Amino acid sequence: MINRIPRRVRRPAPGDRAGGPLLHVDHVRLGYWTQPGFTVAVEEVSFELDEGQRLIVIGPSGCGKSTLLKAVAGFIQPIAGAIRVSGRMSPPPGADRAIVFQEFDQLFPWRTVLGNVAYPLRINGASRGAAARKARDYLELTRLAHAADRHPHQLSGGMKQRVAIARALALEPALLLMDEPFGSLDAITRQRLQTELNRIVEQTRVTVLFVTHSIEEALVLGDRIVVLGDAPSRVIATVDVRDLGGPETIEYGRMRAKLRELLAVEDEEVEDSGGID
Amino acid sequence: MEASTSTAAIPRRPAAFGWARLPALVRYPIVGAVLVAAWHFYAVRKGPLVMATPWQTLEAFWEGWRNGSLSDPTWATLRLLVEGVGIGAGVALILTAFATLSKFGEDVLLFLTAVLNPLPGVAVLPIAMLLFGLNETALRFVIANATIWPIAIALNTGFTTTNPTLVAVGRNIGLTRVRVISDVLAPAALPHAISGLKTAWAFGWRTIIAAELVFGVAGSSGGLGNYINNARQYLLTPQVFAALLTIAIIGVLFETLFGQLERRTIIRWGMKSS
Repeated sequence: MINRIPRRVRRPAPGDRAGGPLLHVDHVRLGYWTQPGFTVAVEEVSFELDEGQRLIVIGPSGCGKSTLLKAVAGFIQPIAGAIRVSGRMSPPPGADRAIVFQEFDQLFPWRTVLGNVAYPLRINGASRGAAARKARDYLELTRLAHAADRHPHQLSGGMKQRVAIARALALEPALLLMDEPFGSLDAITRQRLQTELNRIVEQTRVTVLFVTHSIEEALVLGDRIVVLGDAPSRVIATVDVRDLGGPETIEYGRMRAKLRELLAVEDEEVEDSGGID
Repeated sequence: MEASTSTAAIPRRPAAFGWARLPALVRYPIVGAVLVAAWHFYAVRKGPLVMATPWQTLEAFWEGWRNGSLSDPTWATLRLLVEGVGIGAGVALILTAFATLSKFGEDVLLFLTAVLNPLPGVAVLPIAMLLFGLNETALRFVIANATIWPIAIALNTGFTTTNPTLVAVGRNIGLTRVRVISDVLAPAALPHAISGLKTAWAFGWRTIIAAELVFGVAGSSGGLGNYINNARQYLLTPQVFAALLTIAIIGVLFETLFGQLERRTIIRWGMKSS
């Protein structure tokens, strides 16, 4: 029911929901098999994500945040606890939770840019014409219309990530999953794409679950930030950063200091994925 | 920095005769002419029963293609080859898909390729003759066996080395496991598939000529190997050479064909550098 909310409505405040949260991660414990044996990556994590919100999961490298995203995407089943998406228990992988990965090589090299965006739509039942039209719209949105007929190997890293974002958004997912999508980009491109993503999210009102290890990125992009500790991880804090204001404000500075303290980042440690300062 | 700059500035020593500076269109005909001349004089010395001269070869080639005595066996051989490689590629694809879907299938494939791939293609000819008799089916079987394993190995390498992120994307956009194979793994494995097909084609080509030579006269129409064998028996040396020329030309044509295929697919998509 809540899924039927037309676009362009006000983003709901937390607690302002009718049918439960869009995503409910409920005391989830996650792990995977490696060479020596089973490794627990996520000890116990809980959070909720409401429609229209932008939730950032931040944590040190190897804290299991990507594993968590994979579990939400349906690739991994939790050992304990539950993941509910629109009330469904641990749904299998599907286009309702489109993912943007960190890797540049997530596009199909044998398809053009347009083909990469249109093909998933075809798979999900759109006619050839409708898929192409919608793909063009979303390439317009990510300002890539001029590159529609190129192949991925002819694009820069930043453009590839924008195609991946267009591909995910064109599916009009209930939840957009982003796994450090800007992690491999240079600082300038990363900053540009962060701004771009904010504009696109404003425009489409898509619900976002974004995983990063960059405090700046979390502050720039998020409504709410879930901070994970070292693996096997737990939630060590959840902060609301919606009304923080720009990076020049005192509140922003305080929040950044707080997050740095939580993540035990040395004060002047170079945070290479920084954006605004 | 300094050193590398100065190295880059040194031009390559010009070749003494400027051979390397001649365009390929001039170089290759000269090489060809020299070799053909050498062939000619050697053939004249050896006598017409042992060696045909280039001119005699060309005459026999022209005659054979004009009256069908050479072209018919060529088409027969090519048809068998295409059928055999087709069957081989199909079986290889099924085996590899099966290997991708289950661990048991993977074990079966690895076991079969380990045992059967090192086997020379012609070696199974006696078994094929026992199984199917002296007919084309036996030849198809031999060619298929010679081509399945190189293709299956190449496909399996392509499938297993496909970037896992692409597979994850495929499942994320809602592809079933079978569609992941056909729509993600298969195109991603295309560079391997093409090189496997090249190897398979070369294996198959050698195998069928050899098998036909062994076969002697059989089937409705003999193939190229058969033609060579006959010509040798009747001491029609120019015909033997004309058949070899045909085989060489077809080899070059197939090379070109595969090159075209690569340029239109994997090179255009940046999956292989040209």
